[in-house]
Amino acid sequence: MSTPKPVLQVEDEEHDVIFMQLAFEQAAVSHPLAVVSDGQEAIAYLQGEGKFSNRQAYPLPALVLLDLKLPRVPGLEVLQWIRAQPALGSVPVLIISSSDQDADVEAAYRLGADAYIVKPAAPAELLRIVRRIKKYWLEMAGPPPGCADWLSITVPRRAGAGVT
Amino acid sequence: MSRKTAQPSARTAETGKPASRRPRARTPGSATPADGSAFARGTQEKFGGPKTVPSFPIVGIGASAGGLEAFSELLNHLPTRTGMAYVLVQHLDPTHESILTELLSKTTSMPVLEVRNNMSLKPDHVYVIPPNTKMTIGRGVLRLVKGRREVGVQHSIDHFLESLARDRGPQAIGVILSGSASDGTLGMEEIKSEGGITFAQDDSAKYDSMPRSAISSGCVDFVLPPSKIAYELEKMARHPHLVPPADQPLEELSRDSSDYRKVLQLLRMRSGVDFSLYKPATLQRRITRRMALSKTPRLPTYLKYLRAHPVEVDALYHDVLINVTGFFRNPEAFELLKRRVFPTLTRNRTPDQPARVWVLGCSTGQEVYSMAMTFLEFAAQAATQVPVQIFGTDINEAVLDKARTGLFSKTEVRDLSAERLRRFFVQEEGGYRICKLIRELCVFARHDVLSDPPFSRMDLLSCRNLMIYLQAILQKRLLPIFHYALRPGGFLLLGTSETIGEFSGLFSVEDKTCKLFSKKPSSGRTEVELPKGRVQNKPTGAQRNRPLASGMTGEVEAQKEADRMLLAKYAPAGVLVNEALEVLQFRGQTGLYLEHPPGRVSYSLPKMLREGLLLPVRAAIQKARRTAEPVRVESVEFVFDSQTRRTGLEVVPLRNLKERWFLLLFDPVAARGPARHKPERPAAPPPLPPDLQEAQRENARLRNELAATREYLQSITEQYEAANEELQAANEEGQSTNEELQSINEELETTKEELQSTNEELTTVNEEMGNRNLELHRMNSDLNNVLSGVQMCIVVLGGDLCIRRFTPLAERALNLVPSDVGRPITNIRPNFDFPDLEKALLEVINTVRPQEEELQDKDGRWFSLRILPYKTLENKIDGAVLVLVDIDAVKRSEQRVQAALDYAEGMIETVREPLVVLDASLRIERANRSFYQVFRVSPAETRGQLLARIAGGQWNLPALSAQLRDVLTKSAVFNDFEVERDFERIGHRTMLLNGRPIPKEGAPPERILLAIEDVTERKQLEVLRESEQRFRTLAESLPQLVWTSQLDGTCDYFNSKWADYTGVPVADLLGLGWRDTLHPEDRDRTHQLWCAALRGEAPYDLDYRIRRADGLYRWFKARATPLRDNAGQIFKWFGTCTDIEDQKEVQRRLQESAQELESRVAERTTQLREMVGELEAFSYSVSHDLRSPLRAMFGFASLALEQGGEQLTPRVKDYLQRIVRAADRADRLVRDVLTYSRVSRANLHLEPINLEKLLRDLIAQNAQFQSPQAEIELRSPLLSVLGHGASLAQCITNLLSNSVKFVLPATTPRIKIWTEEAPSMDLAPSSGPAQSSPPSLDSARRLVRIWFEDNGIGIEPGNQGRIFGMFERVHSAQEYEGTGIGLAIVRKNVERMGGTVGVQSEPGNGSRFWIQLKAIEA
Repeated sequence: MSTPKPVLQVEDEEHDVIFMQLAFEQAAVSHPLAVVSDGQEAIAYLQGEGKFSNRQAYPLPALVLLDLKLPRVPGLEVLQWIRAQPALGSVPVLIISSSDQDADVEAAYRLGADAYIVKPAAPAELLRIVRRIKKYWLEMAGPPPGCADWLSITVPRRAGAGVT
Repeated sequence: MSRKTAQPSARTAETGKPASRRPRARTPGSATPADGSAFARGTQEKFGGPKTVPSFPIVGIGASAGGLEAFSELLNHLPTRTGMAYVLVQHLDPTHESILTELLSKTTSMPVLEVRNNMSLKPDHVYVIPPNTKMTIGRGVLRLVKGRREVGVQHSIDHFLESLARDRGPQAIGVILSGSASDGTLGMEEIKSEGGITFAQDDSAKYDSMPRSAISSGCVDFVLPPSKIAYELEKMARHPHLVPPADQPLEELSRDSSDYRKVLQLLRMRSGVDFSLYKPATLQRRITRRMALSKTPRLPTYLKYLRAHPVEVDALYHDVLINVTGFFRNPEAFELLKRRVFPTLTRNRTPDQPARVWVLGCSTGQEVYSMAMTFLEFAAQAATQVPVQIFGTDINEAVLDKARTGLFSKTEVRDLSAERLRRFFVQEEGGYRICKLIRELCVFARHDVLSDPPFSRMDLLSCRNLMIYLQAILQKRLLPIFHYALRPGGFLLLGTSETIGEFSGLFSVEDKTCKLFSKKPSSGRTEVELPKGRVQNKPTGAQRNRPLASGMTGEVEAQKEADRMLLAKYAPAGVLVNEALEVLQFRGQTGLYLEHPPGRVSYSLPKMLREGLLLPVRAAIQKARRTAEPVRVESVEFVFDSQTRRTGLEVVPLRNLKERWFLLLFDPVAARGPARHKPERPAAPPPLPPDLQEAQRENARLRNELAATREYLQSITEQYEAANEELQAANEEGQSTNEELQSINEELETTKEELQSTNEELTTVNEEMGNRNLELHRMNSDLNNVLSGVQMCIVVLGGDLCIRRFTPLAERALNLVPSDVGRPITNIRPNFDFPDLEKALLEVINTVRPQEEELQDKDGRWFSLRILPYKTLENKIDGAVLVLVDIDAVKRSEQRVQAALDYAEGMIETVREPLVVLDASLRIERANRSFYQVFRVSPAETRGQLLARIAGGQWNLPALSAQLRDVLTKSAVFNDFEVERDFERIGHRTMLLNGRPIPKEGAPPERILLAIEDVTERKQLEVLRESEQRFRTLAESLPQLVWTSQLDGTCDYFNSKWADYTGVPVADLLGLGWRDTLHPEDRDRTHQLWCAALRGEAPYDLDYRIRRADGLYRWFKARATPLRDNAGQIFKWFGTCTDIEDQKEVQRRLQESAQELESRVAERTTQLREMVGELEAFSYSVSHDLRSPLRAMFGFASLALEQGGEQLTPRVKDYLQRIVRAADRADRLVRDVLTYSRVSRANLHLEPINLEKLLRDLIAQNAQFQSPQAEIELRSPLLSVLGHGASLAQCITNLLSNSVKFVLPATTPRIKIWTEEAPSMDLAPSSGPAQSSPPSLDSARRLVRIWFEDNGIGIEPGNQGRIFGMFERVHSAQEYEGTGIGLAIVRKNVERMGGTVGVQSEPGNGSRFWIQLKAIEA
């Protein structure tokens, strides 16, 4: 079996990337973690443009973990953009942000985020969250190609809200 | 004769055991004179045998309310040794122990015991029933049954007395003392009917209904006060009736005793009833009882007493005939009647053939009525139309009277089902009366079946429990009478212990248990011995054989007669026999073949047949019976008169008969030959010698002569024989005529019997009629008296309008004469004029609606004519009743009153002032037109209303009410009582009131005349004049220019300032002249506004310039306000002009500087807003970005701690831990700052919050708020508040966290939360600067204060104001960590929800935080 599709983390904070990678390791997530550090890069990756034109090396992700506070293009705009792409209709987008403000949460959901997660301070907490992400979004039978409804059928839109 | 006479001895000699209530059936044979001594022997055995129960009289005393007192008195007067036992049955409260025994012990020296079960009675003891039990006595032993705890109806007295009567018979004494209801009555009846003696307390009873009930039932011998009862008991105690001496049986009472017979004779003479054949035991019992009552110990003494006191004879007579009866006794018998008898009776019958029922010994009629009810119930079920006629007879006229009345007490009907009670009875005072329907079916008559002829053709005859009192010889006489009285197939109903005895030939059994019999068809052998000493001509068998059929009449038909002659002459002799070979009829001459044997008369054929005939006859009958064919025997030899004879026989079985009968014919023809002996002529004599010729001639002559003589003789003989034969024929004829006469006689007898029966019946009916007639007569005279007594003119008319009856007064009024009865009323010309009388009468009859008319007679007198429908008792309309009442005087005084009223009315209505008449309760009785006009009210809304209530209570003035009451109570008068106020429909008015009582003769006044005068206008004019004066003075003294204007805008007044200022005389200013003084530029504007103000469109308030006398214009502020009258109408304008030239200047300058200020403020505001925005963005982004490195610090430090593990030195570990803690605290600080800043920015939407739910959710979600970490108590109910859920949750979380946090070490935080309604924001207690929020506009809104009380360390008073500030901490981080922002967030949140927050605390004693928010408006 080929390598599973990667999980795309859009994060400018280096230590948050480290924490995430650590958590992925500890949670034994089989999906590799692809990281881009700003919004523009995220869009480029998803479009397969520029240095990401090689789909073999940069396949479409199984899941996007999106920070809101990003250089160049803010996270919400990236989300808006993703949701405007029919080809990316089946890719779940989870917001992982240090903001717990209602305004941010509401904006994220309004724009089509599948979950909103507040970055926890403790690594142990992050590990718990990653385990749940793995269980909910990665291990349950993957969406059949072209079936964009899968998510809405199996997982309520606010499923991630519980971890804030 | 009453069959329900007293029961005979309850004890029989054979067993000595108490007999069942009804005496056992005895065969007629055993009811022999042995009975006479039964009583004596019975008592002997009772006293002699050691095994028998001790025999002494027992006194059963029943008492209820008030009984203790009476019984104590009785005991008090009773000697200790009477030889009797006393048992007190007192109604007691079932739920309480009784102290009765104790109480009674004090009143007597006899031992008083509370009864225990199976207690044996001893003489000279008193026994008291325990509570809540039912007591019975049997063989001298008391038995208790636990009662159910019912306080309701008790029958414990009845219960005991009944058992006492059964147990003791004549030795039972019943006493009923004070008490309510009717318990005891039945028991007393029972005692009396068993021969005991009964007492009841007289008027001395505190509650007399119980003794009275017993007395009214007629079963009480003595009605006395308790002390007298004691006296009588004492005297009676040794009487032989109660204590028969063992050695002395009452021989004097035996049947043969002459005294005894004399007593019976006395009875017969007085009552007409012969008791000599009644069973003596009963009679003796009764007589000894009467002896005991009259205190005569010996019969001769009693006889003397009887002779001296005829009343005692009556008493004895009634005692003997004590009646025990009831409705539906032995109900199964009545069921049987319904099921079996009545269907048979009504089958094949038409409604004109009533079923006839005869109840013998009907007593007080219950049985008769039961029978009638049963029949009606049956008839309703079977839907039959056959009527029933029930004859009830009894020997005792007194009971019959009661039966006729048909009124029964509640006790008597207690066993009847509610349905029967409802259907057949009418409830009346004193009991239930049998309904008319039933009553009409029943005929009651005095009839002694033993001496009066019986009724006949009865379908059912009920004679229950009568024969048991009669000796067998009388019983034997009765049954044939019954048989006679019944129609063929009729039924006979006897008492359960009675039988038909030897008369099974007359009746066949239909039902064994209910003793129902049916009449067997007559076999012709019935020996009816009809009473009344009829001459019995013993008819021969043949004659008796004639059936008693009633259809047979005296007419003899010729053909029948001829047949009879022929039969007599030529028919062979023979006999008719039944199957038992008894001869029923003899036909023709049978003497040759039959003879009567000597001795008792017998009709047995075998016994009568002559020698030699028996065998062949029996054989022939035998054969005929077998073959059912005629049998002929040609020749049979038999001996008659010592000669052998022969005869032929023929036996013919008769067909078509119910029983098999045989006709035995003797054939004489066959017997003729050998039996006949013909006389032979003698032979010729031999020839004689010649000397003998002469002699021979002579001889020949003689011979010839002889021959001639013989011939003659022969002819004579022949003639004689012929004559003889003729005679014989005549004789036979005579004989048959005789027979015929006899049968006619028999028929007549029968008819006579029938007539007698009918006669008896007629007498009965007549008696009944007589009774009814008497009643009618009495009613008629009542009616007549009523009619003549009412002094009214009353005419009763029939349906045909014919006069039926009228009162004496009607004669005059209607021109009636007595002979007019029967004439139609339309023929009468009455004294008054009422043309439609007939029509009115018919209308009343047809519509059943009474009519009333007032009319005048020819003299002008007034009458009230009332026509009422005439209703029969069945509510049928049968005519009309015309009542004419003279109402002339009434009418005239009415007219006078009317005139006086009209007069008064006219006066009241004419007066211009409002007038009101009030009644005693100050209600408006009436008011005049002026009142209605002035106060604009209608009569409908005022009349009958309280003055204080009308028109919205405008007259509700305490002072006025007081005045009015004075008028009523003191007849005081008041004048000019002033009332000034706003009246509902006419505005503000002033009224002057005058009040006068309306006098009433001889009594305080009940009405008030109230006159009202409206003085408003007069008053107003005065006020106006005064105010005008005041206004002028005022206006002149004002510094302003003052003016007034009329409604049309033309000014009619200017004060002198105007003239002074403008230099224009006032006269020129008036009207519109003032306008010329205005600045030309202002004139149009002023005019427009003035017009608008006059139209009410705008207020008149403007500035304009007025020219001064020197030509200079100055600014004035002009204002005008309309003046309104009381009704709110504008009647004038009042205006002023104030010089504002100087103000104008100042104002101009102010305006300039204000504009400058405003622009500066706007500028500054914009700057500030920008700054705030920047600041917020800055703080947001700073806080936000601050968190990222903090998280890194925290994360990496934790990772280092985690992964470094054992490699780390303790110091490094400590450093790392410090980093982690510091980072964590910094993160929390940032978050709190963020929260705080968000709180200040977010817009809150308030909504109702269920505080209780919110709190419970919070506690459930946070482990730190749960036991054992903390104990939080919610004091329900918690009031709900208006707030923002998330914000409030944050506030409460912060407060609770603080409370949990700030406790002394090792203390479990305890927090109590409750709410209370705070009065309003204004009154909220202030607690320093925390009370910062200003009261909102809707301060009247209800508020809720939520209290949080903890057991924490408390707050110093000096610090209490600080803790709600930002970054304010009163403890070092070492003691209690925290950011110092929590309470600031709380305060900010609460304030944004429009509430307040505060704290009350003392160090060491915990804190009480509160949040006050708006309550939810209901």
